[in-house]
Amino acid sequence: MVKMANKKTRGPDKTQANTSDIVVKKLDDATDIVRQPPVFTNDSKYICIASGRQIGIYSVESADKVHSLKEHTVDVIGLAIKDDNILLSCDASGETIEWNINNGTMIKKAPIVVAGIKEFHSFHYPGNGKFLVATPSMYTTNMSSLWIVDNYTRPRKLFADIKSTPQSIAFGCNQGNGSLVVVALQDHSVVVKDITNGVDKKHMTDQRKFTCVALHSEKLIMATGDISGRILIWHDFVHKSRPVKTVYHWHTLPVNSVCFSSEGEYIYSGGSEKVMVKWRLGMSRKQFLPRMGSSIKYIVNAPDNICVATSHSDNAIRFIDSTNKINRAIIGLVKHDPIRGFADTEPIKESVMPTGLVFDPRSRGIFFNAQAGFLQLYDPQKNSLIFNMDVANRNVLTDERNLVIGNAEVLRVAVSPTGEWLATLEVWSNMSAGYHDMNLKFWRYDAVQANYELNTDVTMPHQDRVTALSFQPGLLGTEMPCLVTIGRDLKFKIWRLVDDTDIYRQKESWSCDVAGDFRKLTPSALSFSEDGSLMAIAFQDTVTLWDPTSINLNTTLSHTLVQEPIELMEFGRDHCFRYLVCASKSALYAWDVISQGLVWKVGQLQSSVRCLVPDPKSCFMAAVLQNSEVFIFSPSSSKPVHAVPKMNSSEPIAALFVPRSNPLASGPEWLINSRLLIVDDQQEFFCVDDVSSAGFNQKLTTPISHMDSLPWTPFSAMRAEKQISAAKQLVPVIHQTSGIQGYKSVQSLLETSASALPPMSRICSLFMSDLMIKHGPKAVTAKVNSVDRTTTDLPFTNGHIDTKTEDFNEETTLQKLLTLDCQWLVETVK
Amino acid sequence: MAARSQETAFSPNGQYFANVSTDSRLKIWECESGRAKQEFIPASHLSAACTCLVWAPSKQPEQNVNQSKKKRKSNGEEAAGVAGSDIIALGTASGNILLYSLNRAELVHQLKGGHAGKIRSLCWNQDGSSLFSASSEKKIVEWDAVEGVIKCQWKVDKNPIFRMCMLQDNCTLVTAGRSIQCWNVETRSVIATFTGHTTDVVHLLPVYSPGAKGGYFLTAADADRCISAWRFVGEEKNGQSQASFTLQDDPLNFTVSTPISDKDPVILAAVTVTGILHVFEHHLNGRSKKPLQPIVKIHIGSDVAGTARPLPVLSAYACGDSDGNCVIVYGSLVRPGFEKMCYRTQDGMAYIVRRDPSSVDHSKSDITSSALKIRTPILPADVKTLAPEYMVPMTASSEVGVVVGRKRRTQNSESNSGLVSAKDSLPMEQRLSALNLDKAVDAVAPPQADNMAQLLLQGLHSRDPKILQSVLDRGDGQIIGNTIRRIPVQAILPLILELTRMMQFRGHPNYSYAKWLRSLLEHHAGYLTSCPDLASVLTPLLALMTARTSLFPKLSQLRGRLHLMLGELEHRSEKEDATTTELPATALLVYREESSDEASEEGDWPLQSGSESEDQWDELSDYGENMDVNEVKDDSEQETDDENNSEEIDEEVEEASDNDIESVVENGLSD
Repeated sequence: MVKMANKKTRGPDKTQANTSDIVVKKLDDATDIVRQPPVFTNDSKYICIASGRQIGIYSVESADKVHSLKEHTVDVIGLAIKDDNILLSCDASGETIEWNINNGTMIKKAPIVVAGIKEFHSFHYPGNGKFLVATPSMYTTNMSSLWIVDNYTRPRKLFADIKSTPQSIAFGCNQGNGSLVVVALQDHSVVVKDITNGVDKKHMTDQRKFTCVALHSEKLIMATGDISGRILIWHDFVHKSRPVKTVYHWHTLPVNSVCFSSEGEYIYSGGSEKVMVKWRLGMSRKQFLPRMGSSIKYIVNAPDNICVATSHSDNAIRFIDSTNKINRAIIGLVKHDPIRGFADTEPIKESVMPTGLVFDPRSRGIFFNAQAGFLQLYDPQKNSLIFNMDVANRNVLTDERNLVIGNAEVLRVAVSPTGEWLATLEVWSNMSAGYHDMNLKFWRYDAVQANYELNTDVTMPHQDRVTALSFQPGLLGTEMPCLVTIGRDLKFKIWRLVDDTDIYRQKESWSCDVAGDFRKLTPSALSFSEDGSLMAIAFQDTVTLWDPTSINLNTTLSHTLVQEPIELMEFGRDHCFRYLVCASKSALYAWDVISQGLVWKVGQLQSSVRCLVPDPKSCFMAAVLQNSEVFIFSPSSSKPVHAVPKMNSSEPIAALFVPRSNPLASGPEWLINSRLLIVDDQQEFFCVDDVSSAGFNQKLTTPISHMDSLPWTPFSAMRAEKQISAAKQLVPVIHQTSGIQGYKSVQSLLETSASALPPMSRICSLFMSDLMIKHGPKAVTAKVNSVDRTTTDLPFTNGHIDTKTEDFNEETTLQKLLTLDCQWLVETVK
Repeated sequence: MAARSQETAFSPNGQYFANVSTDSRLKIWECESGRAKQEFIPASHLSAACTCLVWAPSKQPEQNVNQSKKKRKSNGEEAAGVAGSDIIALGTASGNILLYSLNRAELVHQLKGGHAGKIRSLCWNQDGSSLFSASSEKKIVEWDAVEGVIKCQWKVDKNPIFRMCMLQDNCTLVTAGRSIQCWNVETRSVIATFTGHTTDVVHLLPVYSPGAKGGYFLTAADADRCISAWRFVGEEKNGQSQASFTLQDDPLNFTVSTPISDKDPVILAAVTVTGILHVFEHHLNGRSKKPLQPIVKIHIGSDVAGTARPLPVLSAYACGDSDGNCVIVYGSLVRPGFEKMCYRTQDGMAYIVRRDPSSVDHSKSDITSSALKIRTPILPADVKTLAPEYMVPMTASSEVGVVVGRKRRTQNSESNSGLVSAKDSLPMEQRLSALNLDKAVDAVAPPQADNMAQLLLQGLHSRDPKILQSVLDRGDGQIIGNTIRRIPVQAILPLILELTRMMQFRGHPNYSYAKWLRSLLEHHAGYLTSCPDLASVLTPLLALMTARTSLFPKLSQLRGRLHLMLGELEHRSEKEDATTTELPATALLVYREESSDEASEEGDWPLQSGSESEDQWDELSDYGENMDVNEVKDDSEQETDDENNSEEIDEEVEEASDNDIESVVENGLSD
């Protein structure tokens, strides 16, 4: 009866012809949009976001994607705006592409060549055809060397052993002589280089490691954040070896990002506290935007200073308007932060996306973890997020500096066969505080209100961690639904919906009906047969079969050939309903539950089976191995129908067959009605699908060129089609320059001793003119003329000041002031 | 001429729903979440109202792979036209056409100079490279949508055109007004005409079905309760309609799905002016003589406090997938509700209750969470909360331990026949006799107020928690005893069940419930042992107790340890008393300063005590006791369960306080 099959081989092949059409592809739209800082275009109308190999151009106004740029073959490492309408992108192989932002077309492609370097870490564009690229450091791992590359080919090394994160490099312009200043972070120091003047500086601080750096756009002011949450503002750090520093300290956790506003008045900073702090430079005033939902990775300011974009670890970019409110967001699929705060004994697969993928038949979406305590519903057809539900309904706690504080995490999800009921298991465990809390919640979908409603909340459903939960399938509204849970307290429990009506209300609620155990063994896996008439629970190497209605033990199945504890177990579907497939650490085998015999066994798997998923629309099943190999097989035989070779180095964590909305016209049987989705440990989605249905690269937006016919308002009737003005445009005076005008004259006034000063009436007008903001040469001459007129009235200044109006500057003023001083002194002496 | 008050349209993939209101506000909703995504008010919205609205077509994914490759090879990407469904073309009363981009959230184009009159209808060709417009001045203009220039224009002489559409072959333009005409776009000549409608045709929709030659299109006329399907094959005069779909009322609008293969039926979702959705499934092949009936009619109503009010369906989009989903928009256009629904699960005539979307309180929802698509589930006040104590049935320690916790009421109705519940109550005879028995007992003795049997029975009968609580919260032993003795045996099991239920909650009243239970078991043990389903009644209780007392050994240990510690503390404090803590005593002594000698002032008190009287010694010992008692009292507050202990302590405290007063008095007297 027990038929042994040998080690799994690439299958036999009637389907060989088809398999070449099956491809594994990455779902692009579900990728990480927050790995790189986003970049605003110069007109602040669009924001460019790198996500994996592609770049999305999003409208800031609508937060919708306008173009999707897909020419890079490896991950994009940096974006920059070259001109008003040109985006420059660079990928990890050094390939740079120039894009037209308006219509999303490629303009130019050219590689950056640095001898002997194949891989690049980050990319910056200071301008004038010069690039800054970071490459892996020669000797130390996780460190980078920074190069400046002129015109793609002439590299010059600036720094070695700097941090490789994108926020550890900043550049700015020395206003005085227009030279390029580059700063980079090392662990405990900041290295500064003035490229044109060749000034090198290295500033050390105490033992706090730096995390990020930003430079003021106009002045030589640098802001750095460190792991203690402190922000340092450095003044004049290029020339002085001990520059003046200002400390801004509010954060307790490491500062993830600092950013100057475009006019340099404010600094924005953020970190894992989920709070954005807006500091006014030079003042103690600060504004907060708290409860942002997720920790801040990058903060970017729009050039027009109207909005700020923050990248968050939940894979969303939020736009904050000038009133300090979030009003739009670009959202990808929410990434689940790996759970911290569990005991070390937890397996790793429990920490990332522990719910796996759970299909919701009602909305045809997939439930899985979002941020801590949330559950998201994802529509695989449209490739978009449907909603993000707050299951835990608790305040989010942030870490303390030396203490990891966990939040309530959703660990398991089950959906009833009709989709009416949703069962969630949330666990809040804080090992440092020795606290462990577990809730099983039953939610009913209320169609009238189109929302989930909490029905029953069970605290501590089991004494120890619940390992699996499953609704009884096959009951399409005929009987009261039923849920089975198994836990590490060696028990399994059956929950049923019972009538809970009293004279005040009609209600149904869930209640524990039965609890049972089996030989004091730990239950490890749970599966229902397709029609729900049989329940299988695996206790170590033994499979027990129960009648779910009467809870009678029908059979126990065990065999000397299969001694390892069972990790995964699934009943076959369709005409393979009688087979129960079990996976242990190194073997995969199937029981026939009717003849009660072992049907086949595949031993010595190359790596352990990570997921075992049945296709709901056919009899096939997929086994996803830890080394990312995938085997599609029918439970009746050990021969795989299809084998997908290793995808990449990443490790799969969950898989699911997703039913198609329209069956495929042709293809292998297991692909006709559904396709296989796989999630890896980076939470990237992969899809095993037929090549013909692969292309859904809908062009997003029209390449319509903006015509000058555009805004047609009643007022535009007053305007001519074309306006040409010969009148000189007045440049508006910007009063937002920081620093003090005429600083030097003030200084000289203060430095001169009071006894040596001339009478105030003589120097006042000169002094005041120094404090004024100077325009072009024309205005200056006018001013100087007026100054001359006033000064000529004074008798003793005649002949002493020969003012040259052409080169009127601060030096001459000072000179004048000093000569005046002397004159006055001389005269008084006389 | 039909008064089309409001123009609505779904985006080609059913993702968005757009509406131009009468004051020319373009509003776009996201169907999945139902949130109003954008609102655009054209600059000329008051002077030139928008008259029609049409989405640019999206490319079919299947075609896209091949087409785009070819296109790229031939003439670059620019030739692809306005592909992508984010462009909405708006026709205005002044003859201008606005192209609005949803993704960019701005007006991208304005097509001017083609028409002088009001735009009646707009339609795109299939790849979105040209836009056709028809105006009230009986002229058709073909625009290049990318460049925004007129490609060509021609006059249609006879009748005004109300609707236009492009057929599947991408070169035949159908215009509908008084009659239906098919134009060849290249030659700009009429190639076929169709007749059949008696009034003006106000709705026209092309049907794209794979494998079909020529093309089908659907029309509906003003004040006509049917939608007709027509087929264009070639040159034809006075073509006949192929099929007609009957509706209950005049159609407001309708959408049609695009089948993937020729096996799939075409799904037509038509909404009448009265707001009823009709869904038809039909294979368009050949003429059908009988008018077709809908497979399902859907009404939507709101049910606020029991009064049903209809919510009109505004529009519907048939997704055309294998499950038969459709997106339904209902309510009012000010704040519509959206729902994706599987119409195949409904019967021929479905009445669906939905909450009125305009009644939803949006005050709590904020922009941030809607931008992030965060949904807060409903947390009603009456959520059943279960805690570990009472849902853990006791585990039998056999090889296979299964314990049934709570019998399901539906199955065990027979065994429950003895219970008094709202549904199956006792016959009146039995109840009367039970009451009579009680009365007989009462009749002998004078009426007493020390039992609550009647109230308890009432409570059990009505299952009214308030009454039951008012009875069971009484913790007086005598009342409990009297009441329990007087209740009839039929009420015993329900009382146990109620007690079980009420004991599941935490809190103080459990103490009195325990008393009730104890008394019940004492008095009615005989009946209980004879009861057949005793096990199923008492098992949950037992499990509850087991779970409750699971911490008891630990608590006892803790208590023991605390006793030890406190004892130690007492001991230590006594010692300290003996050495230092007599400062108040010295203060008392200061009063007697003059009578004591110099040495006693500075010296420590044992020396002084030598000089004190015997009364003083008693005082001190009283103080010591006092301290003890206070400590123990603190302890006892933690352990409220221990009644005897606390009573004793109370007595002690009283004694102690008496002593205290006495000692003070004595002190005062001695002073």
